[in-house]
Amino acid sequence: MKATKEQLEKRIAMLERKVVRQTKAREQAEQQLESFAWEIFKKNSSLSLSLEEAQRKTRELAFLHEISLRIANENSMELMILSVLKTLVSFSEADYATTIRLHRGECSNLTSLAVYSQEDGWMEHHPLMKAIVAHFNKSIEKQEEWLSSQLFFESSSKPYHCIYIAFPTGDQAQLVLVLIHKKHELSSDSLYVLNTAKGQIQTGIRRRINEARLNKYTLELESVLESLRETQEQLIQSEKMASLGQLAAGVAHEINNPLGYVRSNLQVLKEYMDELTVFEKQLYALSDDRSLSPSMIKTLLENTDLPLLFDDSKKIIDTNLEGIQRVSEIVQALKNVSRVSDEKFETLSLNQVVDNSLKVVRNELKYQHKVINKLDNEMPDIKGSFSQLQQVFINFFVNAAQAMPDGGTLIIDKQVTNESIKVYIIDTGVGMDEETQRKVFTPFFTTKPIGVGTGIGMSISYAILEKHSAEVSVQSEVRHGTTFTIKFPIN
Amino acid sequence: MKGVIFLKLEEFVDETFGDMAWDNILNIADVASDGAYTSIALYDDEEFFSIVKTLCEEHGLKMKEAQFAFGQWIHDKLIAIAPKDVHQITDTFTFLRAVNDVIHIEVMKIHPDAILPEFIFLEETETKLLMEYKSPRGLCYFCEGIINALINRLHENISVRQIECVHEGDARCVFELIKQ
Repeated sequence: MKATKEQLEKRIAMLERKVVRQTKAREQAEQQLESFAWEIFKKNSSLSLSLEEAQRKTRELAFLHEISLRIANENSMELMILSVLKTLVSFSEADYATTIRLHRGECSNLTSLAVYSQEDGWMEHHPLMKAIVAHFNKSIEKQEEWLSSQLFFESSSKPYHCIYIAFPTGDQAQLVLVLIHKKHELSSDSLYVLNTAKGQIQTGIRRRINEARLNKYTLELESVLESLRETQEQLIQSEKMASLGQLAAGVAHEINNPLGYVRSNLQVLKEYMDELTVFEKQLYALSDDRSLSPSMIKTLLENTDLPLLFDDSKKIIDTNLEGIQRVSEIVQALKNVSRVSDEKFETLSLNQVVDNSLKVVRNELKYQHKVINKLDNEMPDIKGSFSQLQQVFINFFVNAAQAMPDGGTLIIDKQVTNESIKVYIIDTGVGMDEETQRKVFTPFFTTKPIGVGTGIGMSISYAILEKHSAEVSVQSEVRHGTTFTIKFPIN
Repeated sequence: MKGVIFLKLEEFVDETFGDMAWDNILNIADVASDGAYTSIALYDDEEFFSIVKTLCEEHGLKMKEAQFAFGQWIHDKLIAIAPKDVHQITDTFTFLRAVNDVIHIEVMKIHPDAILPEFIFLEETETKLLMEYKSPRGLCYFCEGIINALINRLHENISVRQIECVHEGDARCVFELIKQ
């Protein structure tokens, strides 16, 4: 169907309007595009700035991290400072760096005139170092902050830029780190980062100063400990001699007693010898007489009671030998006690130690006390010092005797396992209250009157037992008695 | 509302009623933009409703029918520009969930100023789905048209109806989808 003119005109008008709309839409779209382009440009610029900022922060963080690594390691103060200085140079891009020490505001122990540069490492640079020393030959009052100043020296027409920080190192001394830039000053951002790192550097320096102090104290303590050890050895020996002194009267009695009967026995033997001499003379006289008759010999034999004489002499000799053996044993036991013990441990039998100790204190126990020793030679040996352990047991036995002034029973018992030997020293004495039990091993604690006992016997026994890795414990009941238990390890 | 919707509506009207119809509608509706739409610019929602209202009046359509038809028509255009992943989806229920979880998220990345409807899933079984359509624009009929076209594209036999609708005096719009 053919369109009418009117329809065509309508259509043209519609298309014209459509073109207008589309043109307007295109213009809007172009404006929008421009606006987008501008937005993108702004965003890109901001991104570049952010990236730059991020890179700068990364570099700063890497620097701070490296500084903390340098400080955290175990290097000495000198090595730490040198490695920190290198890191500072690398970060700040300084041309030179060095350290100087001020003591009471003056440059001290200037052993080298070297400066560090990233390209050449450490090198001698006398003019620069002299200028630095002259510049810093004064106390830096504001410590622990990076400061900047200008540095003039002869071979340069323009001043160098110098930044520095002083750390106190004790005893009015300061360590100054110096960074030098020939051309430009350090940016304020970088200076800010350096100031962030200063705390870490200060901590590293303090730590090393403290370590040095600590080492010194440790050495002093070790020396004090050593002298304490020597004093303890001397104390052990003197307490031993003191307790021996107290035992001396009893021991003398123990020795005197057999000596007494040995002497009187020898007196009797001497008389017997006289009788025998008379008998021999009479026998010789008769031998010259030719008329010797059996009855005469019989009369002679009857006048001298030879069987009694021989029989008695034999008994006397046996008794004397026993007596001398006893004296010898006591003397041997005493010798063991008084011997200055060396530190070396030997294999020993606890039974022998207890036996020997009982011999020394026999006089303290023999009148009113009954002693029951249940130890035997079947017990395994232990490692220890014979004389020191004897000192311990003598001390326990004398205390037991003193705890039973009106008599009683001392029992030495044992319990043997695979790991240990327990020795029980049981008395039926006056016992101890709880407070005394608590203080029984305390030095200079004593319940005895003045002049009896040193007050350190038990504490020294405790120390000796500790050296033998032995554990000692006490159980006691007032008026019923006391049991000390010593547990020795079997090696 | 994004200009692209207006351009698609123009395309729909052109295809359905001829290019004279669109020009006529614009002349009557007298919208602020003068109908000069570009796809990425934003236009007042009122322009859209004014155009659709004029379309209905000029062609004797109900608002519901017009929106529904436009929804059905636009489905294919939207699918063409949807993210690749959703093309693999072969059932309607899954696809509707992906609208919330994938498509709208991708749209927000490119057009952070876009106002998108939200689907709230109230109930779902093998055969039934109850879903609230929530949008300040109240284009539930348009949405129903899109869902209808989606079901057809996926060759599923599913009935769709609104059991609640703000245009019918309810507080919200709820779609009920039942697989036959």
